[in-house]
Amino acid sequence: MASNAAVPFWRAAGMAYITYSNICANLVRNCLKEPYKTEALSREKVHFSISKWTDGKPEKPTIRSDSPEE
Amino acid sequence: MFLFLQSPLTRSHRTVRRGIVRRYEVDMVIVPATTGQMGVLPGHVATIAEFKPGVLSVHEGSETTKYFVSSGFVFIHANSFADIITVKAVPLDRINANLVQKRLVDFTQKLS
Repeated sequence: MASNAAVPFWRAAGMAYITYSNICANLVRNCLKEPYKTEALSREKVHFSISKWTDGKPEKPTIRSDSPEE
Repeated sequence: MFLFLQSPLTRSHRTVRRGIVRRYEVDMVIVPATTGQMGVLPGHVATIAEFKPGVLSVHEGSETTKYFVSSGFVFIHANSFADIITVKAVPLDRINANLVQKRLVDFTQKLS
C-alpha cells in the first residue's frame, strides 16, 4: 500500500507533533503581557542531567539547562 | 454540555499552575479546528479535531470567554463531554498586540 494521505506540514518539516506544539506554545509565550510573560517563561525553564548508558553502565552525564527559546 | 479543559502547561486567569484540570458546564464552545472554526454544542457527534493556533470561545448563557490556544486537540464524546487539550490557552487580554505585530513582521522577513 502506498504511503498515507498528505503528510501534515510539521511532519514534512521533519518534526514530531510535540515539537511543533512546543514551538507554537513558545511563540505564544513570547507574546504575552508582562507579568504573565516572565512567569510563563520562568516556568518553562528546565535543568537536567542526561547520560547515555552502554553495557549497563552510565557514561559521563552532561548537564543541560534549556530555557524556552524560539 | 460539559467541557473538560486540560492544559498541561498553563491555565487561565483564575490560577496559574501546571496541570490544572478544569471542568465547566457550558452551552457552546467554538474551537479553531484545522478545517475552520467549529461550533460544538451539546449532542455534537463524537469527533476528534486538531487545532490550528486560534481563538477558542466558551459560551455560557450570555457570557463568552475567549482564549487563544497555541495548538492542540478537542475530543468530543458522545455524552456531550468535550475535552480540550492544549499546551497554552491564554485569555485574550494577556496578549500584547505590539509584540505580536513585531514578531509577525520579523518572521515574515525571515521567510522572504
